[in-house]
Amino acid sequence: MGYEVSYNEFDYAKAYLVCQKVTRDLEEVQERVKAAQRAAEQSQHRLSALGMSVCKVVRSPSLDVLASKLVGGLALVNLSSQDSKDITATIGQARGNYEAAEARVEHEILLTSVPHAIAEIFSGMKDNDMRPPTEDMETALRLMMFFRIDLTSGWGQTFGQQIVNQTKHLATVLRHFRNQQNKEIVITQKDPPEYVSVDGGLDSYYELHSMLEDQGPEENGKFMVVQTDKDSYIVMLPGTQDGREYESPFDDVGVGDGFGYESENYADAIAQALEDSGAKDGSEVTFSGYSQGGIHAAQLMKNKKLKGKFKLNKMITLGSPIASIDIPDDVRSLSLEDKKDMVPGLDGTPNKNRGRHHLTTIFDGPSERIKRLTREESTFGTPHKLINYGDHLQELDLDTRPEVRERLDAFHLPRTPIKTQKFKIQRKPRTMTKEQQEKVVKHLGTISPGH
Amino acid sequence: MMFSATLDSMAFQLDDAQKTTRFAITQLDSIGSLTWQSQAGQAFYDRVVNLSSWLEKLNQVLADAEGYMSSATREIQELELEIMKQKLVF
Repeated sequence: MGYEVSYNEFDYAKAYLVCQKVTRDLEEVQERVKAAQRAAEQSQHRLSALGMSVCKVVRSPSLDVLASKLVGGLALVNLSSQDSKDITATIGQARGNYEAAEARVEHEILLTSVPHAIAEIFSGMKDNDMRPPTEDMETALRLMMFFRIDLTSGWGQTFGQQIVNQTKHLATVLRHFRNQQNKEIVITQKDPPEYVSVDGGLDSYYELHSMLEDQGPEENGKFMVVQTDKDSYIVMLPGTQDGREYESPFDDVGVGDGFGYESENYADAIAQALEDSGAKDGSEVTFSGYSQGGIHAAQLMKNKKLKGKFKLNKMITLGSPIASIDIPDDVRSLSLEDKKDMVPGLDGTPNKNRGRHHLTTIFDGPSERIKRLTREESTFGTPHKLINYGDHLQELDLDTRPEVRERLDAFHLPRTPIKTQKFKIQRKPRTMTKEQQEKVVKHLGTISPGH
Repeated sequence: MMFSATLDSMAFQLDDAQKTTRFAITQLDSIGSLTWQSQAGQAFYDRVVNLSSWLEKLNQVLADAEGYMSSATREIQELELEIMKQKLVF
């Protein structure tokens, strides 16, 4: 069953990744040594054949020694490779055991404190205009997992994993009922480029996101590409939009696409928009997302198609539930959350710092200034408003700690005017390419009519 | 030379195998900086150290083999030349 649960889950996770990599490396070494040994033997045979053509026995003693060394090396690499596989499997199993044990303890604790947890949620809501703050939203969703239809399965999983699985099921159901299965997301409108000036600080992201939020229903479905220098671009993705009046891929189905389909269906349109904005293979691309946009941003950082084309190196999310999304280690990420905002808790898991490149900053509610400026009637209230996150971005930029500054400075923008361009996307019925159409016609031609 | 392409390819394979082995050793070394407090964790780390020592041996074998590459190349060149001379005599 592998090694027992130890103390540091991150060390187990890291060791597992290292062992996987070493196993792959040793497989490569195996192939190389095999090829070298084959070449040595072939050379000796060819040399013998050449010698026979002049009736002479010819052999290179050094080549013999070399071949025998390689036979020994091959035996050693075979053993090492097998051992590495065993160690990898064992540490992987240990990690699984650890997660399952953690999940069981997590369930036990919550189960024994249900009344207390419910009281906490209500108390949190009372102090937050009857909206659950982030942490209480997470607890509420965890409690809901006790009432799942498939109650008997999945208890070895953490609450976070269960919630993600449930969201995936819901996304499939939602797609089915909204008749979205055979639709693809395509660019239907390209606005002319616009040059804007920002002050270059972190709140520049707020200024740029403001160009996409609350711009009226006709602006629904738009995202923006910003060119910050010759070879660097930012993709700005908006929050959830009402898709009833004007259809938008950033509607509630979009949330399902984010969690259920890893935003895969947005990748083509975004790649197209980047290319139309001048991005080339290898250009640096930063993703910035507010609310739902942050879910897509986090998912697309690992998208194979985009990663294969561009250098995805930075990500910024504002008020987005992204704790359950794996973000590649080499990505610098900055996530802002407001403690009173229920939206970052919608995945049931606290968003933690995942490594030295990831920074999650949690703020203690909107400032008095923001409270005065905004009204509370929206579904998620002031804590989730973009302007609140703009205020937090400003506050964060005042942090003088060197370790924080080092991370923040990487996100600063130039003060010179930068090129922005909006792209409107819509869900359209999937069309067949010419090749696909020809294939269908060809296939139909092979079908004989019935007698 | 008839054998140059094969010998070049062999040299490349050996060089690459050595580099990858050394990289794997460095990777395994990084596990040492992690925390292994439990007995089981220690047992795991002991196996990693053991694997690392095997890879050190493998690295040595590959280095030895690479050492024989140059003498084998020289020998093959000489033998090839000798055979060519013989052929000309015939």
